[in-house]
Amino acid sequence: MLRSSNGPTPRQKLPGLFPENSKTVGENRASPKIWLNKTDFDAKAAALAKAVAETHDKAKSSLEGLRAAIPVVGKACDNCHEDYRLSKQ
Amino acid sequence: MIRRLILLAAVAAVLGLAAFWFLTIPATVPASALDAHTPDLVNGREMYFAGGCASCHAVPKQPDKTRLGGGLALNSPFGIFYVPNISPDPKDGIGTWTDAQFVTAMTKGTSPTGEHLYPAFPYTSYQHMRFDDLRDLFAYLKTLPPVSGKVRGHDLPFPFNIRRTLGLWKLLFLNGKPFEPDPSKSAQWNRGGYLVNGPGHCAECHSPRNALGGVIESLRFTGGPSPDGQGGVPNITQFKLKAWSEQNIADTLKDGMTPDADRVGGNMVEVVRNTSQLTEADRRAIAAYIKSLPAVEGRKPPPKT
Repeated sequence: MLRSSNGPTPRQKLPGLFPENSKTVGENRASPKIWLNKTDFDAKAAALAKAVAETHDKAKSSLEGLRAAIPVVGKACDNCHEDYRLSKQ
Repeated sequence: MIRRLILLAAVAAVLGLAAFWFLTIPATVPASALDAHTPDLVNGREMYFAGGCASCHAVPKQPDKTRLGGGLALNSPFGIFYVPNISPDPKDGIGTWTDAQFVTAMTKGTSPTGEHLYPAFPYTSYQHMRFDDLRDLFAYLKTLPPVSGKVRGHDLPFPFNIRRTLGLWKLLFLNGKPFEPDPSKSAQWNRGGYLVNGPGHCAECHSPRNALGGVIESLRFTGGPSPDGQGGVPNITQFKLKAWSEQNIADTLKDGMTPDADRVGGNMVEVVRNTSQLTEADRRAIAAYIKSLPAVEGRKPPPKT
């Protein structure tokens, strides 16, 4: 994902991408639980943004830095996906 | 004439009930079937993570996964199961169980009081485990902290609340046999087959089930609707995993990242919390076995309503 020099980054836009009227749009894997627990969902999206921000420079610095950053960001991905992203058959 | 018919009906009913009673006697493993055994706690720990015990039995909504006091509510088409306390607490857990009682629960699905256990507890897979591995696992469980508190009973509508009927279910869906190695395959493949079909119980989620809740054998590992009703579970035969190498599979089990840099989600996140604790050799063995599963197309998922 490209980072524009102005405006919000993709990770910052994340909570706003799940409005009430997007629940049944097309083929999506968003669990209905998102809208039953929106506060928790938004908190987990914020945690992802934080994980990316904290590892951003290290990840860009070297292969070793990237290797160390991936599990930290991955854990933030998983914490949300575990409850809020439906797996596909 | 009527009196004779009534008598005949009564006799038939009594015979039918007697037959039902005999057919559904809960099986046990007697202590005499177990040799002398020195527990291996390192192996016990490996079986613990391969079996994924904490994923169901840890007290929910708290961070210490070694506290196996139970309480998690498991939704199913048959009602709600409340996972019991298997901590070594002597009063509320399994602290006073014998090895024979533990092996009986895991391989026969029978409780120490002689009742059938519900197969929401996947003894349909654990039945394939070796007694030595089970005894090592039991010894390891007893090193974990005791947790007091009994968990409430299950919430199941009639007739699913009649435990004795599980005796018939077991006749249909349990073969009671340990994993049979294939001598034509490598030791690694056989180790993988044992881990997947025994403690790993992968097929319990990764297979579709029939109306009675038994796995449809011909479609084992082809995925299906998630048992708790949330989303779907993928096909893990070569029909879907053709592009994955053995190393890819092992790596995904290590850190939850798929070969295309996605993350496994839903309940698989919890599975990887366990498989990440196994030895690399055991992950590779699981991968070798999974990679060998012939391509079978699963059923189409039901249309989204």
